[in-house]
Amino acid sequence: MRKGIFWIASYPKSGNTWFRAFLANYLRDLDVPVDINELDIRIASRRSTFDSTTGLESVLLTHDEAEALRPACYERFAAEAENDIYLKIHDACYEVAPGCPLVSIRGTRGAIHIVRNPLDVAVSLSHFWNMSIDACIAAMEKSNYALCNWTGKPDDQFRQKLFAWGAHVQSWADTPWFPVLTLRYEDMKADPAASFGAALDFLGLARDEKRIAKALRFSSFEELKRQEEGSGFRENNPRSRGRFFRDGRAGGWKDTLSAEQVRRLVSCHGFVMRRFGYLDEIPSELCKGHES
Amino acid sequence: MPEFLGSFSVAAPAAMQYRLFGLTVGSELPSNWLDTVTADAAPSLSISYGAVPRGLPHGTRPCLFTEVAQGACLHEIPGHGRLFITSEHIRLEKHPAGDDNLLHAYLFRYAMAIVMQLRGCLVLRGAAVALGERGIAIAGVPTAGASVLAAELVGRGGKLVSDDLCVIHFDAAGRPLLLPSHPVISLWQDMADRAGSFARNLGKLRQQLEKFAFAAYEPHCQPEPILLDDVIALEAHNRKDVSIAPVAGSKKVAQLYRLSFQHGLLAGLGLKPQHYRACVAIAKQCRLSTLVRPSKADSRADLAALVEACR
Repeated sequence: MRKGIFWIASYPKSGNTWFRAFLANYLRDLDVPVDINELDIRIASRRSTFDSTTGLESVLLTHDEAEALRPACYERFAAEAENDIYLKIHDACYEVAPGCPLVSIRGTRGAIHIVRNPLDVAVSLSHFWNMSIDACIAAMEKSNYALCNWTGKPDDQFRQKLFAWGAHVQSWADTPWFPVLTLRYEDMKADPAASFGAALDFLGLARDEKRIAKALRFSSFEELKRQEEGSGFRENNPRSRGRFFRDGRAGGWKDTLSAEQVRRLVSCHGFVMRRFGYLDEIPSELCKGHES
Repeated sequence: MPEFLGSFSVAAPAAMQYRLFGLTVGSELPSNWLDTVTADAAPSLSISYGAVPRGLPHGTRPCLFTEVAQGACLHEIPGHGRLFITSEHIRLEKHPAGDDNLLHAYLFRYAMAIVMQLRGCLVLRGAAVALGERGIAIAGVPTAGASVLAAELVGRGGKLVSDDLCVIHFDAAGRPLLLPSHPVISLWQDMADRAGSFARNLGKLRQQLEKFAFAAYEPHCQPEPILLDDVIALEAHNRKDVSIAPVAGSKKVAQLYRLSFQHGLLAGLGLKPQHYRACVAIAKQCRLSTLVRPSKADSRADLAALVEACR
């Protein structure tokens, strides 16, 4: 079978790092947990990967020029691979030209897509971005929202178009171009063996229950938090309000969000929230217009 | 002339002559980055416009837009143009919609790096400065902040040797020397004020980018090659403080290789053995340190103080 890229796709703060930590531990199958700073599953927007794959000097290119070339970069990256490649991605799945998605059809084998309740995402983002919850909710509503969207000095990552949270989720869950397995973060928490086992099946990896149990133990929230407290986590936002591995609970929004904040998120993303069962725990008076 | 040039004859260059990395360069391309010079001898490097080959005999394609063969490189900048590079010629074929400013920047970063590698130099990504008699190469990926640190050091009394590329030539005694290039440093808007104290703003690198070229005034330029003492590998991290740590042993060679300009092309260009020898020679003769800066904070004064203090 041809080798290619499996995308580990999600909106930020939705469980992508947890999944990558699990996968790294499962693949390496060591007697000790993999160092969280050595996960070796890179983010697709990393400028240095693009530069070494294309030979181009991306800092001299505009956002649009680089974006137009990213599909060809991933195709080349996949063509050179001896084994399947796993790449983290926060970009939405969209076309950069008619029939040409950002993530390259020919380079892609599939995508694991992780979706998390946007109410919890908003709370987590506010810590990670060190912004108010209202500001994060506003960002999640913007149809043109993008990470690393610099106008001055470039970041070490490319601009990543997220779109609004609901549009982002749909862009991956409904992509027509390649197979996608969508996992709910809440299901991953409730029954990790089943969720991660299904992911291994999707990735074409042999399912070994003992190995799954060990990888889950080595990538548990407590273990990730312990490592971060000991040696830091290089993927944390330097401007973050605290640790990257902060809470990890599903449903933590109930202790944090105001009724108005819930109403606002439901108002914007209710259609997609309904699809993934996220309206079930919300009082009906906050779901006006999105009742089942 | 390399045989694979075939029918692509290299025209005699126009009258403009410049000095770059110790070479006399005859060029058809005007550049406001460089002062023209009068040279009696024929130029040792020519830059011209014209059609470039579509491929290279026995070429390999280590990168998507780059093909290399022994002694030659073809590089495409999609939508803008193509470069054909040997040790003696740079040929530029401009796309009808190509951006002259982008091609100009590519010429001085990319094409000159390949030329100097083909001429036996070791080229690191980054910027180089002279602090007194001390030659320092600040190397790192393009967003590491090497130019910013170089500008800070020049603003504090250092001299600019080169920006974007650190070109290291070995003298007859085998000592590594940093070669001065054109005295231009390119900086993003946030450093424009700092550069104003020692350089003249030549304008944007590209109209669409907030990056500017600054020509350092003569007292702030290193006119002659200077012995390389230190290689600083600059990295950005999400920590809040700056730190510096020496690199020792065989890790120095690996680090120098990793910091080398487009090291993925070296094998195809036939340069890998000589490049390893050069890395070993530098590892033996120079200090190498890893300097870590916070990725989201302005730490340039602290970084400069650390570099000045590490002797």
